[in-house]
Amino acid sequence: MAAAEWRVPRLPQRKPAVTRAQIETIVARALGVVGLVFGAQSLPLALDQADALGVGAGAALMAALFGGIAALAVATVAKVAVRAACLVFAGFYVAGLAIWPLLVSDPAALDGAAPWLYYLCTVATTCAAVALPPVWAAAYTFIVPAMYGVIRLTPSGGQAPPLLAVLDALYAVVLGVVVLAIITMLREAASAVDAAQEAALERYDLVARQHATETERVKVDALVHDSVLTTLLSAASARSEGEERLAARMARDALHRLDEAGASGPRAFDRVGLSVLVRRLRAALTTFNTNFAVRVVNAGGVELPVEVVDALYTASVQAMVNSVQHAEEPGRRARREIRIRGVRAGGLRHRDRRQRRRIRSGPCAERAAGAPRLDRGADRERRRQLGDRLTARPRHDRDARVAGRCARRRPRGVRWGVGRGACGGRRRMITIPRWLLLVLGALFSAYHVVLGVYSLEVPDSPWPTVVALVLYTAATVASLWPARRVRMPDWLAAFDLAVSIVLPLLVTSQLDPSADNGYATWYVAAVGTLMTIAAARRRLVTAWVGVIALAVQTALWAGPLALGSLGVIGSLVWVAIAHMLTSALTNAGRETRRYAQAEREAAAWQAAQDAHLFEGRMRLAHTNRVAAPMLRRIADRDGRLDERQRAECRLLEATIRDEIRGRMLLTDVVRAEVQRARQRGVIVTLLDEGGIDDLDEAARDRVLSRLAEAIAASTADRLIARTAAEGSPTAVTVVGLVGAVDDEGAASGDTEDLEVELWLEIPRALGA
Amino acid sequence: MTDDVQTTKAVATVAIVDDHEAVRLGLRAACEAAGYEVMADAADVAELLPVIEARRCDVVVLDLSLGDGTTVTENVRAVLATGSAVLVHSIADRVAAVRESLAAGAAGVIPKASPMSAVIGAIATVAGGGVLTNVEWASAIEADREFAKAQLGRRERDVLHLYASGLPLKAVAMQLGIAHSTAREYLDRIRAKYVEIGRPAPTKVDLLRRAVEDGILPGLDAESGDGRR
Repeated sequence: MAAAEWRVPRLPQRKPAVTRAQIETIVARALGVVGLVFGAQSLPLALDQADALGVGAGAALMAALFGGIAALAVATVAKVAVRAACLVFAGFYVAGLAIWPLLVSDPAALDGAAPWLYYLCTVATTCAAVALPPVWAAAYTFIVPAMYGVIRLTPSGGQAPPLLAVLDALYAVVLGVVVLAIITMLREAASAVDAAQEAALERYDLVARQHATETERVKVDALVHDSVLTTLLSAASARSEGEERLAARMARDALHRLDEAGASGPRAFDRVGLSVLVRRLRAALTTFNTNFAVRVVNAGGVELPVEVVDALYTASVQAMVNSVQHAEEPGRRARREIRIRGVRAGGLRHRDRRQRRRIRSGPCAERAAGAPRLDRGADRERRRQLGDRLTARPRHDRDARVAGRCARRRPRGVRWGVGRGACGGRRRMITIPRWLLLVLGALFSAYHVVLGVYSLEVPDSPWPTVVALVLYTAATVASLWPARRVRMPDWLAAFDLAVSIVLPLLVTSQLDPSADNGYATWYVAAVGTLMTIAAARRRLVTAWVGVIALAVQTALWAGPLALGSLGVIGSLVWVAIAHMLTSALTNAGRETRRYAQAEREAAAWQAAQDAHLFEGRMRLAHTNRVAAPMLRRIADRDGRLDERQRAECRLLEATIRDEIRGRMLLTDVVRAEVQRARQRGVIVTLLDEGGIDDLDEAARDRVLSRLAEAIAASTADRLIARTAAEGSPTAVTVVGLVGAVDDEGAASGDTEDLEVELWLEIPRALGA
Repeated sequence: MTDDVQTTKAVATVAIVDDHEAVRLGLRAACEAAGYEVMADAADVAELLPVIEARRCDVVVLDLSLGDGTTVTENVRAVLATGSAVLVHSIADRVAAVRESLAAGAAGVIPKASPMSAVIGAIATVAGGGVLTNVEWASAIEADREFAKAQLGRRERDVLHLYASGLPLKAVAMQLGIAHSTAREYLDRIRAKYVEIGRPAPTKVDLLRRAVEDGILPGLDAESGDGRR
């Protein structure tokens, strides 16, 4: 419908690049492929070791596990029963591992080799990561490699040296945890996108529906005002009996409309418990994307007029929106809290407080923002003051306050969200802590160093390898060192790349390409890990160049087949995974921020609408208060008014019109002076075109006091006060005109015959 | 009035659209007393159209809030299409509606609060083929900041600002050190530009938008910040 096309916050229409459902599919399919690859890799060994197992046992074990892998592949492609297939495989694997010692009938036939089950360990832990909740998956990831480590020590596991068993098991654990962390990160990122989208859509929907009712209401209100004002004018100018009767009928109609619009009635006197406000605020919070802590103190027994609760609610939602918007500024982290405190029966203190790390300079100004009156500009005022101080004092009840205070002390202790500097504030939604990733990276890297040290006797001369180990350790430590910026500095990227190119040359200079070098080729995985870290730190080009150089070097040194056997392919895959992960997380972060932004805009819209609605009701109530007695009199007397009453009708009409057309120009003093001038017979026109909304309270007070003085001192027959445009050095212009006044006052449309008695430009700034 | 008021040769014809009968009655009586022929009075434009289509009417005095679901632009355009001039006679509390009527081509705005003599004077101006230039007109247009910024020259803005403040045109001319006739030309040019631009037809959102424009409410601009702030 037409209402939706204008100034309605638009939501990103594009389908998000990352959603939870997509992530699940991608992860599952990757698992399917990895399962097939690892299965194929371990199949020759499994066939080899089948002899060592009891008759039929080897075949049965192979059937169970390879069948599980096949089922997994089918399930992930078909997207059917993925979780079940994962659970089945993970279960089979544990069972297979547990009964392995029982199945082995001829340990000697193993010849010290690792049980082929080892090569499927990653598949099993990945299955657990996909199918189980993170805690259970983590448990599985630790327990299963530990079981393997124990078995590896026994004769049925090849009776490996303890160090080797521990290294193997540790490697499996670290790999499993890395996979689990990756899956969790992806899931959380995608969930954050989904949640942000849902929140944005939900709020958007809500506000759009509210908007429809609201616009209808605005129209109705406008008609009510029109009806009241026209009635007053008609009653004032009715001359014939017919006109008087019509005026009386209009008065009855206007009263009826006022009633229907809810301007009068018992509502204004209703009181409700403070808990209603708390409930409404909590409900509003559920549609916010950002956490606010709500603290309620002494809410019981406090009752407030409905209007006050409305005002507090509106002001609070606006304040929360402002608070959230402020937090978007980079480098600022805030803990947000709403405090609602009942001061005593009939009152409360209500605080919307935020604490942030960087406290704005300048004094915390305290001033009344007049929220429930919602003067024009009051909202801007609030926005500006947010974080400083914000006090709103409903006139009806002096006890109720909205206060926001600038917190001067630095927050301590644990805060929600990611710790300081994590990912440079780019990935706030991902809750896998950065230190965990660092520790995993460090463990992985340390593993390579240990392997390198462990196999130092393999090379002809250990020294090049020692140099390589030192270089590698230095590069890794520098790369993993917690830095503020995620992106690696240029010098470090260059150093890492250089190390990646030098490492293979150094180590292979002492190795024989045709021999089985065992763990002495640790450098392959080491380069892969280092380049993966580089990729994770936003150095994709460096990472790819590094691993490609490794591949070329390997192919030249040991032939293309060595790419597979030495694990170069694995290094390439890791960099690819890091690349994919980085861009997926970046996308997810961007999507989340976009939706959060859309959601905030919708929230701002909603707050504006709430304020507007409230403003409308206040206006209507004001009109009712001012006009209803006179309307009733007109109706009762059938429109027959004496001259004094007619004059009063004109005065009332002008007063109500002032409230609508001259809003920011009105203070109590100005109102009084305008009233007095009108009683002297002066025609006063107040025109506020929004020019002084930006003035702060003090400047506005000064300008308007000057205006009141000018009105009081003027001897003009006609006065026009108007706000000047925002850019102008003048805040308000006042024109006083004297001249031909006919019996009804000076002609409103015609100022040409009048002389200028007063021409005043009240400046915006002092001394201007 | 300020314009070339002509004592019309033939009796000028007037029609009145207002949803308040008392207003119609009062206006009709005043017009007839002033010597105009009131062709018709109606509660809405649809009711009036057949009459003024059959016989051209010089001035249609039109209320802005009719409460029948029609928009200001529709009403003004429909009346203009019959060859009649439109004089808006309104409470004039809704600047947006006033602007809309001016952009649609209304000859002027006269507030309902004005004394009847002023209303009759305004009708005379419009009936004589003139336009009504007054504070309400100037204030409504000057407050349209986008228009003032994009479409008006410096001098035009100055004239409009001073005139919208309520100064008589001669005082405006004096302030700026220009001839009275030059100041008038500026105002005529501004009016022509405003009609030429013909603002977009407002929708139901208009009032909310007005509130935003006027600063009662914070801005709702979605385009302003896509993801960065």
